Amino acid sequence: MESIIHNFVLPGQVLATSNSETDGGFLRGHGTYIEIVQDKESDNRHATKAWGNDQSNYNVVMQTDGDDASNQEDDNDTLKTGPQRLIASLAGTVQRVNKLISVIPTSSSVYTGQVGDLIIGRIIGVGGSRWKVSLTCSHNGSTREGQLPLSGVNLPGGVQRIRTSEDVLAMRSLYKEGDLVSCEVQNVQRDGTLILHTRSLRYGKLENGVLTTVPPGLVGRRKNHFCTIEGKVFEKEGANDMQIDDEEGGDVDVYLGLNGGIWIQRKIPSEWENTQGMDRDSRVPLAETLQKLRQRHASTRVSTLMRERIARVRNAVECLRLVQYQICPESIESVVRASLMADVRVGHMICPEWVVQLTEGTRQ
Amino acid sequence: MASLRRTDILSLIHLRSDGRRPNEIRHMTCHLGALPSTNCGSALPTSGCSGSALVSMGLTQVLCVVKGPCDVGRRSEELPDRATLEVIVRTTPFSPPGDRRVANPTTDRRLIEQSHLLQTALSASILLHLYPKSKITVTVMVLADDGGRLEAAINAATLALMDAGIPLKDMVCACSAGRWSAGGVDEIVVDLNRREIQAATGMSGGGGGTSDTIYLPVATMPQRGNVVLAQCESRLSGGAEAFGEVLDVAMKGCQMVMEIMAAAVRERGAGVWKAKEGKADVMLVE
Amino acid sequence: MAISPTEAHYIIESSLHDFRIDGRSRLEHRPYSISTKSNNSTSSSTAVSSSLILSNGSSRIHLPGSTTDILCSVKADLVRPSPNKPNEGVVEVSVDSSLAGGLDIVKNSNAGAQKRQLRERESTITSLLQRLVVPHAVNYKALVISPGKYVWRLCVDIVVLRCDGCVLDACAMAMREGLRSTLLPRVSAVVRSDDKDGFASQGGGSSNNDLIVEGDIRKALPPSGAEECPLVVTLSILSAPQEERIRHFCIVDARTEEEVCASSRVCVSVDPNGMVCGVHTLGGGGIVDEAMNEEFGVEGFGISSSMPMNMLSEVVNTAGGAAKNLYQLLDSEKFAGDSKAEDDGSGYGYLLQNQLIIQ
Repeated sequence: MESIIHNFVLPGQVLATSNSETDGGFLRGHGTYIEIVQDKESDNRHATKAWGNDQSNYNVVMQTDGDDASNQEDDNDTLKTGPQRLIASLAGTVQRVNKLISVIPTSSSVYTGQVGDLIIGRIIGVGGSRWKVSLTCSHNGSTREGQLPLSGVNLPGGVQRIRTSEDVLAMRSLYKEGDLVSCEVQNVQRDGTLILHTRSLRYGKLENGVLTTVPPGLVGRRKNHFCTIEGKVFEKEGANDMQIDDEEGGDVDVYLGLNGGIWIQRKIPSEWENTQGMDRDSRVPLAETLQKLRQRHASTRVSTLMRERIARVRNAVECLRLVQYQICPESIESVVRASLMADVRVGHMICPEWVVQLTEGTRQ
Repeated sequence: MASLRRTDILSLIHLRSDGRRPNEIRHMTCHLGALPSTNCGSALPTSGCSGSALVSMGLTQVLCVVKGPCDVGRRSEELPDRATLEVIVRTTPFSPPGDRRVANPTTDRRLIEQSHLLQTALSASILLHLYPKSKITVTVMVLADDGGRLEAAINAATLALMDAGIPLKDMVCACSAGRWSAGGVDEIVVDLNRREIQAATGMSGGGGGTSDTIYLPVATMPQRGNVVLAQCESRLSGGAEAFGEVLDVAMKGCQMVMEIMAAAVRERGAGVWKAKEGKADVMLVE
Repeated sequence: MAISPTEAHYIIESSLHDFRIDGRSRLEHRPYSISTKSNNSTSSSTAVSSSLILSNGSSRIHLPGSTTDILCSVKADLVRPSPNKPNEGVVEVSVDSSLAGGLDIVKNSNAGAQKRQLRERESTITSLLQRLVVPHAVNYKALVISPGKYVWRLCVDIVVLRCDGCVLDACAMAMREGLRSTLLPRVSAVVRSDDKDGFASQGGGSSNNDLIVEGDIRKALPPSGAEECPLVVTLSILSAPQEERIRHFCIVDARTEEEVCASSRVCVSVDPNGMVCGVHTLGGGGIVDEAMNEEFGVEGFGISSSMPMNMLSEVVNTAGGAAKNLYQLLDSEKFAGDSKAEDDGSGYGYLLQNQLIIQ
């Protein structure tokens, strides 16, 4: 813990200095910038007197995230002339991996995209043969919009062909403004714009469920972002067997988007897959089967029992968000279990006193 | 309390009207993340802020909200190589002590001037070229005004930008200083409250007091030693040295302010880290 | 298009089963927490202090989870009454919601349009408050110091920091609590018999009517009648198809995403005695579901603000019941705060007592 405080830096704090001879004892990472210090004779009496150190005039040649390697090569000659300082530009903890020094910000509302991240976003614009996806589901969010090009989606029916102009005109039939989609980051452009795609069968439009948002910092990077809370978590031990048979209790799917969107829906029951696959032969592509399943899921009503479970999971995510704990399947499960054991009504789960109690298990 | 005259400000025991010594700043508290971010649990946006901070210096209370970086709506407004910084300072009608006054931020000249000053001060520090073609909006709401609202606004804006995770060259800290010569004795004081400002400048706000008084709000980047903003509307009878002395005192005040702000940011960072790891009984709740 | 039709569908279906997306029933309110000048203890956990020292009264409505945060300040001064109401005090309301961004704002494309929408929203809220709450807010006759000469003017300033659905409800709550916490010093006028010619008989310059102001703050009282200040309950009416006709039902205290799905909204102001003080219908939420519209005509989901006539009386009755619950909720909050916070467990303030408070 003390080491964390020790590692905590503020903007403007010097992280490392290097002399010109060693040609940079550090590599600049995210959240920092480099400054060249050139000692000059200073004629400002006042500045030096007030501070008591010799930070007089800087010749500020700064390198930050925007520069690419080619620029560096040209400036290398001039850079070598002065010692360099690596200064933090964010408030956060310092991470050193060999020579790479970067600052991880503590502010949890920042989302920086990386290739391969799962994003749950809302379509806010259609046009120019691409969709614009809002990454924070809000208009004034802290990140720009991602772009989902037409070439990045699967055409209905799973056909693989070149996109024609008819496809461009029919874009709205695939995704309209306001739809929620799950997609993956394909590429991060130089200015930070994310290029997305839904080319895998797991991604696509999200329907018949609940969305809730949390700060992106609370959703950590994991191996798998499509999680399932199994039905047996919801069944209390020693519960009476008064389950009505025609009300299916099933599993709850939770998709943890790294931009902070969390999508909760019921899991497509395996019985459907079996009935669907009755006539499965190798000629019917998997994409089509999945599409049919999705449509069935979207059009089938959700039973009351499932709604209760979904609402419980949603409130569990809310509780975790309120105490700023990491959102992961284990923590959600623990909160759900705690709520069932304490016999809390779902609607009361977000009252302050219950929030504290239910998240006890997440704190040691 | 007797009517306040300039000579009464410094009483015999060298305490000011609110009991401070001349070199003490007011009690300052900072709260990062006073209005936590947009992602607040609903599927739709209810408020679009990425960072916020609440700063109170004495009785002056200022709330600052940062939005962005986000896309600029109009192509004509976007700059190709850097972000556009938009700053708005607003007051609530109940902020001035005494009469309630509604100030429209688009027409009140004092507010426009302060917005502009704040924008200049912050542009010196934010690394705008990291976000080309985007816009960062800083909105400052003055909840209570007991003098020094520009300085409190600058401090709050710095904290809010840090809370939003926008990279800064350095923290911008602001403090004010002033000088009276009363009865042949020169006294330089730091962090003036409203009464002292009124006495120093002859009327509320700035501008044209009698000579021998100086009121100087200053904003600096303490770790780099740069002065970002200094605004003096008084006539300097003592010459340039007088200005230098008051500036020194103001910069010391900024240093003190920076220490308080740094401590607040560190505490919050430690708390957030602990909460994320689930390691402690610290609970951060909005 | 702020929300997709499928999400709207889910929300409406859930409400139909009396189990909303966050588990509440149709008529249940969210756990608002109130802090006013008198009970600062519950506000210790949160940054924005509810006691505005420079105002006569203040309150803060806060919904845990930071989705709703509204500040209210009440400042009082003495003015001449308006000529057509010489025996009544004045209450002025102003709303500022510049920090609350949001929902109605379509896109950043036009900054001017955004500002206009903000202002429109503010003025809508102000005028609705003016009509529904202000006429019954306090006992106006009791605000008179000297008839025709001096009356109290209470300026209520509401600042919406952020809001998640039902702005009007929360503003009305803030206003009520602010008025109840306002402390007015006792002022009485000294009437002289010879004031007809306007000369002052005492040593130079004193005005016609002297005012005696009671300086002891312990003798200051809230404006009389503030206890009777009404609250507003906004009911959102959702329409769902059921067996070839549309069923309308109403929910109380809708969240933003539920409000968007509403086909129309009704604001009812109810005072603590259960009397309805005003009813106002607003339009719908804004999403349009073409499939529904085709099936049922324009009456389906959408921006249409129509509802069946017999709905209205049912709505008002429901509002009365919901308002009673809300009053109970608010009172219990207030009592919990008044009794020193070690005992009671509502609000975060108590819970954080043993834990680190970030300052």
